[in-house]
Amino acid sequence: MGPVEVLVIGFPGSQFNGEILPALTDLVERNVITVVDGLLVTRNDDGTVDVIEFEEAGASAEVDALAALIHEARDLVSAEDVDDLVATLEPGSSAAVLVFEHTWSIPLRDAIVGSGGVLVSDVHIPGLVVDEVLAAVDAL
Amino acid sequence: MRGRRMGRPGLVGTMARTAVIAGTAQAVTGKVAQKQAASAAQAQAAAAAQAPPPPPPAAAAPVAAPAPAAGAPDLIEQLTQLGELRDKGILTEAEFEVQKQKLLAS
Repeated sequence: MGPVEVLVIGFPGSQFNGEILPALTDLVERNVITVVDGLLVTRNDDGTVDVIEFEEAGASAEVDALAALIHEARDLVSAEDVDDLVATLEPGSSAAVLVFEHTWSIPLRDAIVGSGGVLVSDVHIPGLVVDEVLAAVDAL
Repeated sequence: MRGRRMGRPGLVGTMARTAVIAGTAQAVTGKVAQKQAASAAQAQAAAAAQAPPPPPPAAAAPVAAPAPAAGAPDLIEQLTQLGELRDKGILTEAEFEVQKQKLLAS
């Protein structure tokens, strides 16, 4: 498999509103990413965490559409992972955990390996950190 | 309410341990993790700093399966990083011992 990203997206209230679906669907249809796992998480008012599989989420067209994007679902995120991933999720809030492969990068990876290259480092920098660095450089 | 995901290996937990073995633990612990934890707006995990936020796909570094670095990282440094992960509670004492033995045996 290619490298996989685990995104945890908080949304207001407790309803997944489906507004990310068009952008996500576009990436899936163009084979840029492949969604391999997903689930919903709710932090209860008492601080405990509920994991809700998409199939358990009840009749919601938005969640169904999200679940439909999953290709050959695997349980790659464990209950322990969920605790780590939602550590900052506030009581009374919910989040969607999306697990997707960076399918676009596989030909590049194969080309690197095929050329005899070796991966020396691979670091992912969040956009906010990049912005910080750019701002700091500009302030010099 | 965890159902089928209880007691299974998971991506995030395995990543934290693999990063130690490959000598890339500094990407998981330390300042990077602290910065990401502070970015609450991006809803990132504090402990699992390898769960990145939405990046533009074109901006990622070249990716490949985790491969050994060209030169072996310093053993003392690896053991120190291992100890730090244990101290932070990312590794249990038992997991620390297992990985330490692997490092000493390599």
